[in-house]
Amino acid sequence: MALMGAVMSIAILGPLLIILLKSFEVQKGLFASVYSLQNYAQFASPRIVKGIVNSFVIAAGSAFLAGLFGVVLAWITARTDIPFRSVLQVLNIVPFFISPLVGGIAWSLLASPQTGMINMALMGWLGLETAPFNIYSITGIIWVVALFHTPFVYLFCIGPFRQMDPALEEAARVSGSNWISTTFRITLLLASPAIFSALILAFVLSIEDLGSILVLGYPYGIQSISTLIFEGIEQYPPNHSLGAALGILLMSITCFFIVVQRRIMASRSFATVTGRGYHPPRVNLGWGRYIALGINLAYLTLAVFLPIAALLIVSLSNAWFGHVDLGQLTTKYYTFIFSTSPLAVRGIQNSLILATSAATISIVIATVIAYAIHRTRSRMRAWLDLVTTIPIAVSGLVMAVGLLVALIRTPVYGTLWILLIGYVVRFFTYGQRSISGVILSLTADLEESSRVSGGNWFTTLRRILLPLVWPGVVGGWLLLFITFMREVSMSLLLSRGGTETLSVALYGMMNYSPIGAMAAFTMVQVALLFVAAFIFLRLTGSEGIRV
Amino acid sequence: MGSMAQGLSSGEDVKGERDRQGYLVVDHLTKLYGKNRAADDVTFTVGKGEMVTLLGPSGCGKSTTLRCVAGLETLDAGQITIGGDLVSSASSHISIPPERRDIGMVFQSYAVWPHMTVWGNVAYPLQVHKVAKDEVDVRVRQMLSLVGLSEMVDRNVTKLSGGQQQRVVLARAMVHNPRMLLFDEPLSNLDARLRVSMRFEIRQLQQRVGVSALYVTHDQTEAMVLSDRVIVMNQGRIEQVGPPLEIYQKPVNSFVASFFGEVNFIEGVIGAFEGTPVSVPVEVKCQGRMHRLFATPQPGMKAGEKVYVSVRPQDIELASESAATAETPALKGTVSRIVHMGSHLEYFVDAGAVQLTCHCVREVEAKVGTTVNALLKADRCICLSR
Repeated sequence: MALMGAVMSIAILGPLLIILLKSFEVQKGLFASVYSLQNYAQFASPRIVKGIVNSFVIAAGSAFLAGLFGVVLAWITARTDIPFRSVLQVLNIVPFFISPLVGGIAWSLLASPQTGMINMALMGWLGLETAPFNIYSITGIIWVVALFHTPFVYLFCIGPFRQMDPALEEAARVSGSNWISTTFRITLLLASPAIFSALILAFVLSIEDLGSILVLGYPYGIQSISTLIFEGIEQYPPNHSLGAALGILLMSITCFFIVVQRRIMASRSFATVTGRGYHPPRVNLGWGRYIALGINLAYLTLAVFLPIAALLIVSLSNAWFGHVDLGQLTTKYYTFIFSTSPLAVRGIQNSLILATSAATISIVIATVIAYAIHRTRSRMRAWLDLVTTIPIAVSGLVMAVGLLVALIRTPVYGTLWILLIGYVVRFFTYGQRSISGVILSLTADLEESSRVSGGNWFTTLRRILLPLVWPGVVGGWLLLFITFMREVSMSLLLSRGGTETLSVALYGMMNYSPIGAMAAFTMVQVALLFVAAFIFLRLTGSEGIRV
Repeated sequence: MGSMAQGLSSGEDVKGERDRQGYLVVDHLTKLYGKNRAADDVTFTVGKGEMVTLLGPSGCGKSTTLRCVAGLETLDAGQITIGGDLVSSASSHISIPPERRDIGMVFQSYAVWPHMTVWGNVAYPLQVHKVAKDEVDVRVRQMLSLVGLSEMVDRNVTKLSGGQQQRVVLARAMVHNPRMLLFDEPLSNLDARLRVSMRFEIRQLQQRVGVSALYVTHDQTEAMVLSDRVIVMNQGRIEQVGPPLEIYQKPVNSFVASFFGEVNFIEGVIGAFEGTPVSVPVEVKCQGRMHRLFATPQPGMKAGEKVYVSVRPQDIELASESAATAETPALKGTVSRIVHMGSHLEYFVDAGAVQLTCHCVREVEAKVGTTVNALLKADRCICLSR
């Protein structure tokens, strides 16, 4: 246990230390280097300033929009008499399973100025000269990122909305306040720590996101911190030092916001709404419930139905010019993916191997560490608790840069192992949270009564704790599996020819294959994710997702 | 020489004698949580077949003591023996793990294992003790019929009521015939009515099996019903040990008196006396006048000592102002409130600096606002130091 703690500490902190050193390193000649602040001085260049500004604009804009969508959806599905509530509560999470890369690709089919389906349709109906929407813009990126980050805000807020002590609202109603002002002055204010911390989370998620901006911005000259890092690593010759310096910048931003978010979550005011077992009354919207239903369906249409329909149509069309030609339907792109494209097949294989093994390794580590933190008196407990939250505050992109610099001269580089290490180190903590949640809900009495009944430590672990924690293990495994199947940032930085994952292969096909093949391959990834998501939701329900 | 004198008695008798006196011996147990002395120099014994209760408010160290006996906590000082075996010792760094102490324990949270059936829960101790399969089934069914759950063998435990879950846990704790039963506030999660009936059931089962038991509770009536002896604890220390009735009638200090049932305290000073009388005079200042009460002193109390006169509400008799007798000491006061409790009446008497609560079985001739005499019989009053 102590060994595993030490290994994980090194695996998490090592790359960060190396990236910090690298960020001060400047190459002099072929083999010599000196330490200076030169890499950081480059931040003053207009190109990088523009990228940093873009990052903040996109992150702030999409966080605001995702916050608006998420809070509204959480409130109407948790606290109103909207029809089909239980179905909607599950459907609203579905975009969570679609990666921002997939979302970006799908929306480029819908709203690109040349062949976007929505643009073409509107131009046809309204007789417009030019396309009304351009998805390849800052606004377009904000829109797509917001759509796919909405489930995070939604999941964060629905709990507090559901578990609010009804007496707090009843007191307001009894004092003469109607439901509208009660909702704004009591409900939303009480949930505000959750809402605010969800907004921060959405901000952090989008500032570290690479997938959507790589599709919608990068090819059209829109840079962000994440694409600048990507470019620094991927260009020839690579500039690891600049990538590292930008990584340190990104890490400082995300760490700052995650610390702020933790503070808010730990604050006293949040405790007033986490009381369990309450069933607050639902607001009777009358005919307004159909407006609420309309709002929710509109979101699902934009985030799920339209993107998938677009992908499906394009993948089945012989050639794509922005409108459906029923006479030209074909399955040739699916045949192409599964028989003639080595890249696509490799991507699927690699992702399945990686996701399965990384999820398994992660969940074993997560279980041991969660056990050590919650059920032993190990001196490492506080340390483990701290160290295992670091991967959440440090984005995957930064972790990947660190691992790359650390391992580039080892045989691990260029193999699936480096991806495996990266996946485990970055994401095992999410599995740990899902298991910790279960362990914390079990009283220690359950294990102690086994001990006094005559069962030793191992018997107790095997017959009492593991069976009780098992749902958390299964849920955590599936969630990790899904995360790895849709992972973009780390995969793009760490994979090389031969070790492409689904996302990397998809990015490659976006650049080098016919649009139909790319759409078909995206559909394959979506289908794989939906199967995993379906199993996950059947087993654990939406409460199983810990963000 | 001792062995010469006892040469004729067999080893069994020695063991029997030792067990009768102290089957469980807790010897100078101290447990620290940081700087806080959760259990502070706790020493007591539980005899073979005896049921002893650790009673006290929350945080008094009773649960900590119990958990030390179970082996769930290690000691910082002292030692514990069960049936003559040393199971915990701080000085020799011995801490036999719970599973090797041969005990059964009932927790406050029931701690039924939700992933097992009723049968599975009760069979577990036998299974981990490697009892043969056929025998496990026989003994589980026997045990379940003993606690009245024969019909529930294959039920899911989480579907049972609180009382039924408590019986499952009881069966689980006793099924492997442990040498000691430990109870950690087992009834505090049950509703009041069920609590009363479960108290009797637990006591009956324990006596029928004849197992030694240590029972932790903060409920004084529970302690009275269940125990052969009660140990009152406060702030990690033992305040008093004795049979429940003795503790009720002869508390040694004001904490025990007030924790073990309702009580009135009257501040006073012991007056002059000679020898070792059953009762000593206590001077009490009340409504500007000095009164002389009589009360049983604690050993070693001297004249001039500041004390409380402690008297139970039902031991105070109320008499009308005119009917006061010279022989019985009394305090005069005004009836401020009368509450009908169904089984008895509560009279609140305001005697200036002293407020008295009196329980009377029948109504007395006194209305709110009238002046009465509260008779304080010497044999019902005790001196407790303040």
